[in-house]
Amino acid sequence: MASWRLPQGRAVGSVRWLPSSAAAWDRMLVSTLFDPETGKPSLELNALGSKDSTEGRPWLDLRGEWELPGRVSALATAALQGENFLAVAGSIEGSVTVVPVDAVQVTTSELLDKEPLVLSGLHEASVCAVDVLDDSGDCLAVGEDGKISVVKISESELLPKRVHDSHGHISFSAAHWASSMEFVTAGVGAPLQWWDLRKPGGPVSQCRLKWDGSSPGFVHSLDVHPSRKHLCVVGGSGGSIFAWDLRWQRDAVKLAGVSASKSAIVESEVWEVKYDHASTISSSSDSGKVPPVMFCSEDGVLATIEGGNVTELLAEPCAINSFDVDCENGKDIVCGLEHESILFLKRRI
Amino acid sequence: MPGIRRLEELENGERNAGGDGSSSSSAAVIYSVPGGLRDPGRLWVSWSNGNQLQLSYIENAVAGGGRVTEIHLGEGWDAERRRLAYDSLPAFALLQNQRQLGYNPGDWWEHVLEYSKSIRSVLDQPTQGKEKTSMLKAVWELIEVFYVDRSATWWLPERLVDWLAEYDKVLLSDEDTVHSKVASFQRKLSEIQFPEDDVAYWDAMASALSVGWLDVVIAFLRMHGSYRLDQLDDRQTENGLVEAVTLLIMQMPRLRPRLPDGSPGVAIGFKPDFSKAREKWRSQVSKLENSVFWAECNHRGTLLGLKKLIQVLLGNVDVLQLSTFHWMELLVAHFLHLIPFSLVLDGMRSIASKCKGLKSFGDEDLQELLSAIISNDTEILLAKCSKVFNAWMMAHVDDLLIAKGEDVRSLLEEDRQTLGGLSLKELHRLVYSQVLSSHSLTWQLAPVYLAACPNRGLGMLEALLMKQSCSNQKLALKALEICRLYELDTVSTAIARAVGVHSLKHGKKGQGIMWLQLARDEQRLSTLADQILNTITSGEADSLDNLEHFEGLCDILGSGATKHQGLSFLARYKSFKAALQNIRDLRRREASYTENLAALGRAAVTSLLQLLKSGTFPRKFWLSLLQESVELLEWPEQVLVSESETNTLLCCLQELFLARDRLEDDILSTAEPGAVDRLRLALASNLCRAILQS
Repeated sequence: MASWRLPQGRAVGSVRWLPSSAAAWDRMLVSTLFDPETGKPSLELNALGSKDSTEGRPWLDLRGEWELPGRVSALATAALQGENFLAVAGSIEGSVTVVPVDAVQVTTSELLDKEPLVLSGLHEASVCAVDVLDDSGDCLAVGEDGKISVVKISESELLPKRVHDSHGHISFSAAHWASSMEFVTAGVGAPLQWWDLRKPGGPVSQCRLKWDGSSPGFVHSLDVHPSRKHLCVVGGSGGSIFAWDLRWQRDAVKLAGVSASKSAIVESEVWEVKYDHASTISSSSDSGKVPPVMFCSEDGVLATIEGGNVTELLAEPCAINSFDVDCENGKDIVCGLEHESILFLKRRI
Repeated sequence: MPGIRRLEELENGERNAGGDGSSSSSAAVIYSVPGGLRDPGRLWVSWSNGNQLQLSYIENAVAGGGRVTEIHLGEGWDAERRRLAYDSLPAFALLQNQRQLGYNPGDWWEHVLEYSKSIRSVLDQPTQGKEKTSMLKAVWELIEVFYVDRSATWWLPERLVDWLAEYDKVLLSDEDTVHSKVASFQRKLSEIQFPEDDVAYWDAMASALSVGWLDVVIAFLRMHGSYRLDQLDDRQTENGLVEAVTLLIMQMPRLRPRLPDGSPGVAIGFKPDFSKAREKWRSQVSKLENSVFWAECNHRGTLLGLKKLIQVLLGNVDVLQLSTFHWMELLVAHFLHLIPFSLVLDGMRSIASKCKGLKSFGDEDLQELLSAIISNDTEILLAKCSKVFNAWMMAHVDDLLIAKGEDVRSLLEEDRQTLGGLSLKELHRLVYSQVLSSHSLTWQLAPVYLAACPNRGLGMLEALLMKQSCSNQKLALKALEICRLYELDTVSTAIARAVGVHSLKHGKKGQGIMWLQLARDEQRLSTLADQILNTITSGEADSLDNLEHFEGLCDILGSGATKHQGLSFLARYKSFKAALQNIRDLRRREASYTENLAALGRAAVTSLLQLLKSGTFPRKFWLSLLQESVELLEWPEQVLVSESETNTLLCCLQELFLARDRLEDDILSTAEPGAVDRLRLALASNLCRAILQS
């Protein structure tokens, strides 16, 4: 396992790989940055170059840069039909920005300059999570204001649709598509909820999370298993990670957390959680077990958890605010660090 | 506009007051704020994040407009300085941890040496403002040699040689140094065929030899013209002399444990052996000096040049003085060629001051700083260091100095009246913490340094945390995490309350409740519960949709039910309300589900009685609750409320009357006229029906 820190000189928000299937070009990395000197938030597309696969310090080669209307609070990427990609960012002011990435143009030496599509005022408060569907590009956005929107992208227009409005009684903090019509949300004052666009009016299924003790917890991140769509995992306060199997509508299982087991290596906020792509590819789907999950935390830990065993991949001196695993083979991991840098981790499997 | 002009004047004034802030104020961000005040115009001056001063000018409401100007005061934090701050944090934290765990004074210096090395590796990274950082590194390493590394005491002079070899190029930027001379001739060397004709060739070599850069001298000597094969003259003797000098230089004994691979010289790690070897070697040098072959050397330049090199090797003070350009170089030359056994530090100090007297250089403060390090004069060192470098250096260098011994420790750790009861060490850390706190990206580093301040650290940490913005949840959670690490429960409560109130004010009810629960703010939570009840009972939230939202709220409010005794009734009230709603829905559709209807009715009655009996349901809501029960009392199909149950309801109503008579609270007057009568009638008639049925 080898890791490299790439200082950015600006605050790094979220980091995401572009889900590339084309091996012709280097790994493409989308990151959101915030320059404290100018106060300008931006979104960058970089190619991650490295001399050979295991040795040699990698570097970032800027392929495109876009200024955003507000400081980014959520980021997602998706592959569209015809080798094009989307990066979608939600801001703390409530706007959603869609940046189209042309796969052909990205390989040329010119910087990408296509104007991003901006939908300002979609939400009245911070957009806490966005997710984009591969192929269709439908974008799901949830906000602190308790609204859920689905934004469809046509040609050069964004068509927003309000799916739900709780008038601020609930503040959504995480959301993820489960299929082209279903998605899962989590939030403050709300249970884990499973929604179906074909059945409007409310969630079709929900499940309460049992937080440790009397203090309530916040959910920060949510992921749905890429192949077993009835499984989802959430991460939040107190190092807590819950897994929920939709087929059994009882409580979610607590995988990690302050009181859950002795091996609670993380006691702080779990900022992001994802199913580990590497093992979803390598292991055959054993339906009885909870599949391995990767998470990052405020106290600087990046680890995987499988069957109660925690494997630490990184222990940084600062918070890891965001990470992403490449969906191709799960070897390349990228993290956004609190100390203004991007960390690239290459693991052997 | 006069107002705007006033603002700009003020801005300029601040610029001047901020000293070097002019560079950053040129990049001041201007925001427009919508005017919302009747007054003709107002100017606010307030501190924003860190060291930003916010000037807000608001015109009148009619004309609208106004603006906010943010001015960065003090020194700017560029990305490079922030990187240094980030990267040096782990080493500092580790050292403080080791210290807290207890340490053995005997080998403490080894821990400090590790710390020093990790900081140096941080300074090693590629930087933009290169010169300043390498100067920082030069001073840092010199302090490490003289204050920390006890394994190097016996070969201190040679350490100094190594140090100069690495940093001679950064000490002086625009004056001659050995490095600049050597480097400039090196460029020339590749172009000329017979360098021995050039005096600069020999001068550069003599200089390099004085400060012990033997490899450079050897490389230069190999370029000597007599080595060329295409010679016309007979230069054999000359070549032999060059070779002899080269050989002597290669064999020069050095008092040090080892030399880098491939470098000339012989490392000897045992002092008596070294003395013997050196005597022998010197006698060989003198023998060569008096050799007869010099007479046969035809090239005058070579003759003089080689003799000069031999004079350097023999330690001729005049030649050494001529060959070096500043006192650090002269000092090194002294140690190498003149008095290599000087290990007593007092001796070192006097030689250093002597050298300084002979060849001082421009930068006074830096010069003083270096000589203070060499002569272990800690007080001057501190004074000069704070002049030359910034707060980062002061906060990090203290641990290095303290490794020296008790004297330095008491100098730095003793609490001083003049500093308000602080020690110098704590003062340095506090100052650095303040610098860190002044930037929105680095404030999270400050706690580590404040935690290492025994007197004022905690107080400042509390102040720092309390000043963080409460509008961003994620940031607030980061602040709470710091509170958790340092066990600052009261601060975390205060932050949670602030965030809770902020969320509520911005209409995020669920989030607000959650934070208030974190803050254990019973009072606000009860008020909120009352408000929610008010909304529900007043009929504003009649639609099922709204009820569902309230359900969510009740769930959060009720989740801490054991703690928030007063709120547990909300869940029951919710089920009562839901049952009523269901009944209405069913009735509206079709009355074909009479049995279902009755079951729902019973459920509603049960919840109603549980509510009233529990003793937690606030009395001021009783009347509206009773009024809602009229529907159940007047159930058309059957008697739904039993005799005893009706009695309980009657008792409740009676209690309200009693309360009014005792002048406690008059809830009855809030009811619509006739409503109470209708309720009474319903109760009475139901009682009747119940008795009859039983």
